[in-house]
Amino acid sequence: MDGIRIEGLTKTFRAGQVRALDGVTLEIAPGEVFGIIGPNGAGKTTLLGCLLGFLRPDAGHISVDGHEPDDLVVRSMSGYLPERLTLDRWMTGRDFLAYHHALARLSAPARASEVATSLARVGLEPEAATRPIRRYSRGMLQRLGLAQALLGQPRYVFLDEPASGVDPAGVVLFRRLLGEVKSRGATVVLNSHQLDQVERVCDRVAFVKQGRVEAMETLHAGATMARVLRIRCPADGIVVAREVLERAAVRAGAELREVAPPLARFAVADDSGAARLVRELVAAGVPLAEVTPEEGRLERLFLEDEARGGPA
Amino acid sequence: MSLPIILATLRQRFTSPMRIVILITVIWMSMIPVILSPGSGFSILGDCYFLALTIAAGMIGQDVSSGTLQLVFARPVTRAQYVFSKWAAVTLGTWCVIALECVLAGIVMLVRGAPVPWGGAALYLANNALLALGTAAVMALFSALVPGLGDLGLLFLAFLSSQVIGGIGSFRNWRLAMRAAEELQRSLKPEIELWSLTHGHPIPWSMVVAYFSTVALCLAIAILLMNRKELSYASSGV
Amino acid sequence: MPPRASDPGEVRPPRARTGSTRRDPAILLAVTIVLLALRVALHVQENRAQPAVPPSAAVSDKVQWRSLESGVAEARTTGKPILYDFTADWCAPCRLMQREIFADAAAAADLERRFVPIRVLDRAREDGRNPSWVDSLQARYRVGAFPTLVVAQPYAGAPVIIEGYLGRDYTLDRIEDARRSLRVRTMMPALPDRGR
Repeated sequence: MDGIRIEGLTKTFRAGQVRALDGVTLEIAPGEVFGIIGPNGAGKTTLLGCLLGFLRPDAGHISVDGHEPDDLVVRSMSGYLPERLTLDRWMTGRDFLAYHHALARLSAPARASEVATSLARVGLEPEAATRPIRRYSRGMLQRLGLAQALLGQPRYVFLDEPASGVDPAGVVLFRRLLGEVKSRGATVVLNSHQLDQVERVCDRVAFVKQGRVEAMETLHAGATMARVLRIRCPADGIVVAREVLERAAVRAGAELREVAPPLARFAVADDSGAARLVRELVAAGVPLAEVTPEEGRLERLFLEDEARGGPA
Repeated sequence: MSLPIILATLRQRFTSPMRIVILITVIWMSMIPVILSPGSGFSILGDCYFLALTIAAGMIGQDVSSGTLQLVFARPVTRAQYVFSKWAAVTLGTWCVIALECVLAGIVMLVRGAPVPWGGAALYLANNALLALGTAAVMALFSALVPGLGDLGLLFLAFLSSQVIGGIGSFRNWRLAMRAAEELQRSLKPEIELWSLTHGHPIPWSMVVAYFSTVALCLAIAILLMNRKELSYASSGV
Repeated sequence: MPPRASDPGEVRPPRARTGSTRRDPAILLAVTIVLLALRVALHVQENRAQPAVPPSAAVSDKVQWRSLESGVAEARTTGKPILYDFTADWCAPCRLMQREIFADAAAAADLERRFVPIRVLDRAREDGRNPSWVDSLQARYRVGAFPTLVVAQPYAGAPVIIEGYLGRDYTLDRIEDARRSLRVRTMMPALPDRGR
């Protein structure tokens, strides 16, 4: 059982003037979906760069399944989706996947069929496969990049802002693919600014700031309720029965978390879930004096950091 | 070597509109002396240096500046394989163009009723094959040093420097400087003249050794540079 | 190659390669060092074989022949083309050309004004072999007969090769033609072209 081990990782740039990583230590277990969040310039991309062997640390050590990150063994079992998708613009989508399939030293006889399967898996239309990449939209690029990262079912998947620029259907697709990746036991390292997505898919999350891991949160991956909505009924109004609140929540696809009159807390999936809940509560005759979204667990990390005086 | 990288590089080089235009122009211009003087043999075509530079320019630097290098190095490909594959692809591409030039010249000679010197064709191909191989190695080094098409600028600077060093050397009568300038110029355009071998002359060993040492040195340094290159938006080395 | 397995407990596929992707090429580096050492050694040997003062075939020779190194350097500095005289002591037409052109004060002065003269004396018959710099030059300009005059600029333009000796006026005219054609053709001195 190896996974990823990072010990005392330090990385500086410009002859030590910029300290991008400062003694990062963490472990990622095999099969875990691990999220990395933090403000801009925190060192998240640098951390990914070191994990992928693109950058050489100034101090510390990284091992992936007991090997150095730039070892051929690790490269053979890794897939990577970069944040900046600068793909070979002169290639078609199919050519690009076939190229990376060959670079990954995967089976040549199976190449055509596996490429076609990969394209279909990420929802790229057959017509897009023969179009040059320079004519792809941002969302199409992201899908192609994801297809490339998942070629050959790698054991380690490194995703840098995978849902960036993707439409809601793409976000749903991404979550589904990630679920498939997780179900076959692959280890995923995910760097994302989209906290609700991170909260839904990750097992654990590291909050990185100024090159250090400031906090670690253990989440329940697969939880579909990322937001919390707090309602307040008028203090001098009727007391609403708990059953009424529960029925409204079920009809809206939400979860009743806590009832402490005149307050009640519900877990909802997202903004549209919140809107549905409010409609159901109104339809059920629940008098609403105030409806306030509470910050998510991960959002709280940013807010607490801001409160301590650091820039968000 | 990595066959996928070789094939992808060849496709990239020969689907670049600017490159195609330059290659076609150069090939057509080289046919003019053949059309005017078809009996002069293949040596009238000149050498393939400019063709080789056109195909080689940006062979590594363009991957760096376009950002596609990260995805390649995320795969099980060693950086040495990458450099060798780029060198092989550029060399092969230049060989194909030289062969095409040779065939076209032969056709012109036949059409104009001139005899086609097959020995001369073989010598022309062999000389230029070696020149292409050597030029690709030099450009691999320069392209590993600078992004984009900066390798051409670096080559120009190197030639200019050799002229300046040679000039200063001759002005001050510094033999070392003059010799250094000459060696630098010879290294920037590595080639072996095979004519001597076909005319009973002894093998020009200094030329042969100079050629292979230049090729080996350029490739070795290119690989050392790529092994130490850091790929990151945050790194100032990219 | 066997297809990648999706079972998480699977060991990595057979024939998976190991080792760093940034491995330095030890064999190539060793070969490079050996070749560089050989190159230096050959250069030193060549330098020793090259005479500092080039031999003149006749005492009455009025041309101040340069050594290869100083001649090339002078050509680069002054912009004058080099006039190589590929000759041999046993060559009768060569001796005739020397008497009629190079021993003539006016012709010699005129040549020195317009060219950088370098004499390349073949000693293969007398000594059994030539110095390597002579072989290199003969190979470079494909000299197969004597006398051969080559008008060239170092690393610029195509050289003009004049084989044989067909008389003083003819030869001087051809040399001048060669000089003029080199001036027209050498527009890109950094990109040498050795076609004929």
